[in-house]
Amino acid sequence: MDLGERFREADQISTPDLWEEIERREPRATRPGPGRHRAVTVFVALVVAVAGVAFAVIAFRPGQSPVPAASTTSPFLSLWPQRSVELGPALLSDIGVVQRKADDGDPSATWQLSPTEVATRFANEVMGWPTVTVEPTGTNPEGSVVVTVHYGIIYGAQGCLQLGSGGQTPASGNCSGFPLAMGHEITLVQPGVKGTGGIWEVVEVHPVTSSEFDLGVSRGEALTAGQTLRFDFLDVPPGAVGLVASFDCARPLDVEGTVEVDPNHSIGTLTVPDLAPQGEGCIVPSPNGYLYAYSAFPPDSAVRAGDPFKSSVQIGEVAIVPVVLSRPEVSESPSPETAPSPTAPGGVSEVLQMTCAPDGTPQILTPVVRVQADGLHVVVRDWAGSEAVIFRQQARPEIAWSSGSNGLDDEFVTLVRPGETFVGCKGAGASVAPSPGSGVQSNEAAFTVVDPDHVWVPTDLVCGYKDQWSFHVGTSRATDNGMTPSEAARALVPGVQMTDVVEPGGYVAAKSEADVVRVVRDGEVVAWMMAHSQAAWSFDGYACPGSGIGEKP
Amino acid sequence: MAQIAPYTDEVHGALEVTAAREAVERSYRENGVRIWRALLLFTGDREVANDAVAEAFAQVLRRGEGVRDVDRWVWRAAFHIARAELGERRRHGATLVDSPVEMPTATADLVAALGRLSPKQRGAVILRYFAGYSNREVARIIGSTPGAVGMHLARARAKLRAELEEHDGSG
Repeated sequence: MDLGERFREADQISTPDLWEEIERREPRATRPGPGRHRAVTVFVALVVAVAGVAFAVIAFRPGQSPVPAASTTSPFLSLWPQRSVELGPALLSDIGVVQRKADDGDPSATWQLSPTEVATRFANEVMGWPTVTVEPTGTNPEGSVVVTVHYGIIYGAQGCLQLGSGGQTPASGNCSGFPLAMGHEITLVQPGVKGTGGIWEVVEVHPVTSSEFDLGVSRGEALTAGQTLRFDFLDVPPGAVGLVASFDCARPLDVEGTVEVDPNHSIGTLTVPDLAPQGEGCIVPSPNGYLYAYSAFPPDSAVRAGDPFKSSVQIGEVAIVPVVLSRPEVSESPSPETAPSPTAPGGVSEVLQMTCAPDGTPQILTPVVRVQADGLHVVVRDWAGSEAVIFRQQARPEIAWSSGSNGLDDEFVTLVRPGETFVGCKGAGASVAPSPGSGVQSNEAAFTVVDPDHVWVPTDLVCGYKDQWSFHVGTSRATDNGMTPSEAARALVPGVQMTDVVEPGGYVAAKSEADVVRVVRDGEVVAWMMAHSQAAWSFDGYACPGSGIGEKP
Repeated sequence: MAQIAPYTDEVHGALEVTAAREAVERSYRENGVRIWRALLLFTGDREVANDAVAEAFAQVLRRGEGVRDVDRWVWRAAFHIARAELGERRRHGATLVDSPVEMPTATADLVAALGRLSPKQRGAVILRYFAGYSNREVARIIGSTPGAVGMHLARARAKLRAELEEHDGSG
């Protein structure tokens, strides 16, 4: 049963008639939600206000404008409110929209202009702490700020005081339902606009009331499949502590570690699993994720808190750091005469290195390769008589990319897209015959192209390659009229609508004879084409049926 | 002979109120059931769905002609209210109220699988595949962008497929 059928089955659920209730209902005066403050007390509001002013003094004092927020690694990873684990390449565009809303004064976004407000809401909505006190803690050299939130009770002369509750003793004076005060440092950065007009994102969380949850992993660090991480947690309550790495894969990939407790230490161990290739286990080869360690609430509870972003249970203390998962380097090392490839952290190479054996068998020396802004960089160390290499991808089995090499060029750039890729050697006794849809063949080798910097602008059609149809549009319009390829496509390709977004696609910095342009309609790619600009504009591309693009009027 | 009352500002105002009320009731009759079922899929809880639908329509009823597109406004408000309610319950340490709803087995499996998605993924997939909104409209309702909605949908689809296929396979 497909998804559509399952949703249609929901139409059988009986429903109540609420009209009478609607007519007599007195709408609530205030609504919780974006743009409104949560049910925090005047005391907390005052704390926030004072903290905000103090923060502004700290963060934006004259003569020291905030420096751009520099993450320890690229790309930018955000935990909340916009989440890189879910948005992937769309993260920055989503942040851009929120920023524009904030610029326009839209209350659904303006709250993100205050780091203390973002931190408060993070404590409310993600950690499940209903009331908190907040205090700005400082500004880091790279421009990030730290806001500390506290929740729980403290004992004073008059009994127990609940933080964030206005200083009142909890009802009936019973403090047993509240934890002792806990505090967390929430690190925020401005990914785009800096200063008072820029929105803030939570990028790290660490507890400050205990030092147990020092993850020892940097923000954005690449965790390699097979890697074992060890943590030394001090004095954590046994049985109520979790250590998890969570990635956004097709199947839930919440990798749970173990925490062994001895009288003095709690040793956490987590082994990052080897991932199946794209499409089998993970949607993307290097998924964004986050590593977190937590204690349950109440602290002595055996209830496991679970993922703070998914669980509906309050959490006690938690440390969260965004990470990237990458696949391991090949186990066999290159031959001594082979120059090492520039390798990024996590075993990802900058250049695909390969050889062709005399019988045409390819050998891959770098199984995980990061694309550059202009495409995939390839070095063929030994052609062994082959004349070209051909790349084949599951995503587009009807197309194979050839290097066009004549055996003399050892280095070239090709436009292979991110994902699982097969390569074969061709010519002089070596040959490949790409077979659509099949796995790696005997005369091929597999490697993975990753795109952590999101330089590839997807051209995958919403209708899939099986339903797409090809078109050619030739024109007599000269190319010296100042139009960009996107403008030319909009003006000259039939079927492009006024509301369509026509923009560069693929590797926008590619140095090829034709420019790739994609057409986005209602947020989905409905066509892409190569725009040729020799003397007159012409276009070769693919479009979804029904889009009308490329059809003769 | 029938008496004709003078057309005063009061009469004009009353007619406007009546027209607005009729528009809201028409919207409820046409969309209420669908919104309620969408919210049931979103929250898995009948009481939250009841409250969100009633509150959203009650609010739009009070706003009268101040709302130009009643249907879209109510979809957005109802999801907003439901999400806030889930957040409120969580902040108070409560899990969802167990209010069993009779539904086809396939739908029950779907609701369980939807519950394992993030709120935005869940909202996007319900609005797109159950309510039939375009990515652009989904983005307006859940407060996102069409591109981000596309990403949410792709990942939600993959997760749902994996979860449901696994469930079908085991069951």
